[in-house]
Amino acid sequence: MSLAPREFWPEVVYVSEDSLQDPLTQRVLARLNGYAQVIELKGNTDPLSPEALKSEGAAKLPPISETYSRGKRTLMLTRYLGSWLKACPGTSQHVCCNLWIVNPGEGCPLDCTYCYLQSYLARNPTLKLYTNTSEMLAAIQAKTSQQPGRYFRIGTGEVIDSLVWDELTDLTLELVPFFGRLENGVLELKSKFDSVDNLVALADEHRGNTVVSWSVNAECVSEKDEASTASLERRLIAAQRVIQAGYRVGLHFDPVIHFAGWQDHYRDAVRKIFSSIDPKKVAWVSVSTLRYRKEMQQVMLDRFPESFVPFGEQFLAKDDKLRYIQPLRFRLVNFVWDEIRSVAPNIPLYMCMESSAAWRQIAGAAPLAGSELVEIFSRQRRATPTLLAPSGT
Amino acid sequence: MLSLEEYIAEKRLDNSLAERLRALTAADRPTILELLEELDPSANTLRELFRLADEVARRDRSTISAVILGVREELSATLANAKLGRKDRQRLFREALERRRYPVREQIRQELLACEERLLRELNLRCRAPQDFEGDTLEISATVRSAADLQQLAERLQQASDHPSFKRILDILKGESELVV
Repeated sequence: MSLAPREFWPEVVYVSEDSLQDPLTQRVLARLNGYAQVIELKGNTDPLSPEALKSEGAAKLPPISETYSRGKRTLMLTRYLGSWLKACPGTSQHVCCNLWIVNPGEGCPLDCTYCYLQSYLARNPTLKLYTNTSEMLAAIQAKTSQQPGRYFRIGTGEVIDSLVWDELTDLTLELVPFFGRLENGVLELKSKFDSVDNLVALADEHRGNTVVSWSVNAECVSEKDEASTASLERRLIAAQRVIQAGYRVGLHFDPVIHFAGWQDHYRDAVRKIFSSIDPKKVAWVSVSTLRYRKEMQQVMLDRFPESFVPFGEQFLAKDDKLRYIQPLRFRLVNFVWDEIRSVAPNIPLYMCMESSAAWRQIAGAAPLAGSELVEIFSRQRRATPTLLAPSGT
Repeated sequence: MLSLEEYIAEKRLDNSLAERLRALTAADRPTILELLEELDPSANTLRELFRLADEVARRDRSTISAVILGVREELSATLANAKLGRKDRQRLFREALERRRYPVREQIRQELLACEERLLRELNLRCRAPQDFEGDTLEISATVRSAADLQQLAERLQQASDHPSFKRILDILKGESELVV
């Protein structure tokens, strides 16, 4: 199989000894053949972690911004040894949508200014793909079988883009049919990329149990602060292709960013999106504003000196993240929420990591408990949900 | 005036702060050193002042010295007061930098304070907006000594519910004021 190289493909690939024979490793190395330098690695230590750099004799550790940027061009193929399936940690004192997460890897070759991984993975900046995928599927099978009465919404896009490596890994060829056979779970793939050929080829196997989601933003934000990602135009074309193949899609307006003229830009984005996508094919939409851990501020300033993203009207929230002040957050979310409602009145909307006060103000009521949101997502699979739609619609 | 290196050594600044000071342009150094002598901040205060000035300079495509000079000019009359203590000078300087770095946030803070003061002055009610403007709950406190006091309080609470300052506080918290655009 011959692929046109992508600008974000790694220059160096480290392969852990125990991953060498795994099919995913073989596939990735075959497809990267000649493109990247391959280095065999003993153990599973991130080669760009402070520990590894020190053991190599580095007298002084480089700044995080530097190792993180190097990590963007370095891929590690390794086995994951921890617990595959976890409840999304959410954030303290905020309403959580109770997503389950499974990480087929870690880190993202795309380079968004605001990406929280710049602090989350600061000490482990090398991009990773986990090669023991059969164990990942077994873990999902075990967890969902243990609780047959519970409906699991499982996402792969928490610390990695769900589609960006698919041309190299074919991971969706394993995940999507697996979820197609699952009785009590839905897979959410989340991406800013447009590699959907595999998904389209699985039109007969997903059985409605995979939702393909895209993070979307005002086009000027995508252009300036989402380096290497697919443009909104390309994401929408990809969304149309998967809808044609029978999938439902998800949309995440996240993070909504405050800048001069933001209303016009977000209104345009909402209209452009819903003139391309039939709202009936949209499983859910989330709206959330910019937030990141305070230590990430300096990394952003160093890595993206031209960006205005770090200079918002923020405060340090109780979860130790910098967030826009509430009056501004509410204004931003309310606006986008209303714009979406104006073109897609019945669409299920939710907020990611927002306060109960935000839910009361914007959605009219706070969910009674996280389980109520789970119920929305599970009902959505079978019928149009009503809970987060305005009354009377 | 001390040189930058002399200042770093004398104050025993940690590496990260020292590095940031060394990264100042030659044009910025004299302004910063003059300020440091005037305010004599601790390392933590210096770090915060520096962060604010640096972020304003980057956002406005300006220089740290231009930001500092702007603040000094704004505060020149106040800072000329010889009775002003070191801590007060630092506080005033930090507040002025915060107004530049977070203009909306600081305007909201001032406006909420003004509304709270008005409610206290006109209705003798202590109303407190939530910390950092987070949440939709206002705290109202009052003291009574008798049934008559309580009766009066009930009347004042009734008046507060129609008071423009009360409505204004709620509107600001909800993002429904002209302060947020």
